[in-house]
Amino acid sequence: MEKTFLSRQYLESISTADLISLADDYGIDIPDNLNRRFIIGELLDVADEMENERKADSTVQIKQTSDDVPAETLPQSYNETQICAILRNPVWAFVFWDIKEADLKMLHSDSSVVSLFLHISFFDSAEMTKSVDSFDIQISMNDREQYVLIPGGKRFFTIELAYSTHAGLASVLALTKCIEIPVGNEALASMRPGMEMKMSPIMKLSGMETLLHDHYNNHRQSFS
Amino acid sequence: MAKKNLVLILVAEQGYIHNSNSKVDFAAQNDILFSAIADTYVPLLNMISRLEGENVPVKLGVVLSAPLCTLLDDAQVQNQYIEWVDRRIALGKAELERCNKNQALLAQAQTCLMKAQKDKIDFVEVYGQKLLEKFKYFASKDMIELIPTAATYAFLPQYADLPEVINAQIETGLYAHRHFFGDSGEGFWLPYMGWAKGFEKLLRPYGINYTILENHGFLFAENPPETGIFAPVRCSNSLALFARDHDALESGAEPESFCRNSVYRMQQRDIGFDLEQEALAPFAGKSKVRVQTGYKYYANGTVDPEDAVAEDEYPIYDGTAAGEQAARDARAFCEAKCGKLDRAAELMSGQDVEVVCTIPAELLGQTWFEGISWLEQVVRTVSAREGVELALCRDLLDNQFSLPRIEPYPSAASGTGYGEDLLDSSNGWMIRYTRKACERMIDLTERFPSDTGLKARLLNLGAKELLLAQSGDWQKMIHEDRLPDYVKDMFQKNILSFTTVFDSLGSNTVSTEWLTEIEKEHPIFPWMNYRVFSRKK
Repeated sequence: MEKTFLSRQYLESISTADLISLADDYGIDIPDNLNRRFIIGELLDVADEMENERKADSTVQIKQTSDDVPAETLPQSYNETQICAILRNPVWAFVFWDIKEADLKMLHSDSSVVSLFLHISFFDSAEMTKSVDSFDIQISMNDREQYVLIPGGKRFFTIELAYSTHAGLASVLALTKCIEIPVGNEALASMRPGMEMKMSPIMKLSGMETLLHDHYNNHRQSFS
Repeated sequence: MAKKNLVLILVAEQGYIHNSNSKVDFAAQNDILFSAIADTYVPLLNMISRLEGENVPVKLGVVLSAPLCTLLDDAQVQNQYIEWVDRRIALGKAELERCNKNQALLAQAQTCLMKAQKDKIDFVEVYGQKLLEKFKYFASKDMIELIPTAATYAFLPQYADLPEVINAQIETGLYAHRHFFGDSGEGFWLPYMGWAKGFEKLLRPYGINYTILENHGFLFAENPPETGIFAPVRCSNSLALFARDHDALESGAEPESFCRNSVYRMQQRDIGFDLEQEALAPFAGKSKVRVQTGYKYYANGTVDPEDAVAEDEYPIYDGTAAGEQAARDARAFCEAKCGKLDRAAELMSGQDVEVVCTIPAELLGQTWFEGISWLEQVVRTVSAREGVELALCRDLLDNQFSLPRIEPYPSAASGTGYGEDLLDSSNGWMIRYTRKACERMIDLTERFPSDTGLKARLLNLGAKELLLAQSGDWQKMIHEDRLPDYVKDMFQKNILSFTTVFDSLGSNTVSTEWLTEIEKEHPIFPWMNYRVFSRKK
């Protein structure tokens, strides 16, 4: 079946019964509550996979003609070298960056450049200049985002976008703001399955046990 | 004697989904607002009116976001809604003919048709198309407390390091609230209850007295309050905080919970998704998009979820049985909450106690058809009960300046407690654009602090487009795969419009035709002042 056939527009226009029948043809399990959105999403995933397979097999290149009007789309880059980190939750940071064309050119043409990496540094206070701990994550020239796990017990961090050279030197291209890592109740780090947590009756009634249980299920070692 | 208070807060919000071009097929987009009006907002107002008529004391917190208020207040949207109800009525009449050989289905079709007819009468005649006025009236009677929220329901922790952006969301949200309801309220509802360190310093300067956090904001704090979630606390600058009860109704949206009871109406099963296109013509017209029509004839039933679903396996809906079940569920809910309050009062010897429950408005009437009936029974049950009262947050702060102090833990009522679903592999690509636009907007307010005329128009448009791009709804809808193509287009349009503004101000050239067109397309916040993004000096 062609991708054009399985377009969202088409799928949204057919009845639930037809959707189920189509999903059945593709071996997709039907959810319990006739959730059309779910079925459509699954069918589109299948269509995408098929399209990718088809593209991989194809050797024909499609060329854009000069008559085509380029669609107005969001820029891939703002031509600035910048890095930004946001806490996605208290222990995971989402980091994204942009590299301006001149820097990209330099990185590609300079034969002494070995690799691009993120350097994560930890500090005890926002004013400190010397880090108490750090680690690196190697990234490729094409990467533009990364999730980073922040180890327990740290207070502040910064992330540098940097590159290393054959001579073992590192140069910083961009640096995030200094970000404070939240400090929470010690139960968060010490919670383990089967462990009896001491807490007041009012905390129990507030739902602390369930919360810690859910928290462990969702985040496990991230917070320890 | 200690007071025991049950606080119920209904949260109604939606993205600014507005169509000024009648030639565009907007059926799926309109379905979000129109179904909410027909199944939640009007029935909610009817419910409060009924209770008022019977002198049953009502105390409900209500959040109505600015984009939602703008849409409800828009005459064009109101007329589109009436036209939509008319088409629903026309479909109902066709349904009576289609079902005339099946008495059970015919009875259901008649009930749905009668509801559609009443929807029209309520909207046009009872409320004169002005639902906001009725909310305002109930607020003036102290039956509801209208709680302002951020301008476009942005998930604020993602901008925690950009105070100007959070200020702009708060200030515009408060201004919109004053515009629609005449005052700025006393509290502030943080979108998705998203809290990050230092937010109190941004909220308090606007005269905001309190906000509500997810319970782990309290309980995971380094110094959790001794009163748990049963009493308000305050931040270092005396911004009061309430904690939402963990067992509150939002968990009721889960399949195993009571709103999935077998006798309740199956909301996913609608003739709009079942019948042939021709049979839907009175409602759908030329639109090929399948949306719900409001004609739903089946109950959830007890079909094994593992089994494939066949049409005839669901029982026909029985409104009487569902109503009785809603009353039973309401009593069970009240028993659970009142029992919790009793126990907390014992443990907190003599201190007033409260339980705060927040309920997404969408759950009442839309996800759960009997939800409004359930809520009415909850209000009636509590009012008839000794020792527990419904209360408004603002009335529980007599001792605001002697409350214990805490520094809340970051928290949200989305994802797994931190709003992770608003920044994941499906929607993570958006944040780089909004944050870049934020930096640029803050910079523009520095460069053009007191401009007027065409430049001010451009800057105001830029501010509006940026606020719209920040809508948490866009991230949520993409995460949920709800109208993803439309949402991506909208987001792209917001960002590209902002970029055009930025570039125009840089090059000192602008197409006034383009400017007027975009202003017309997004007539939200007509009073916008771009300086809401300026650095506070």
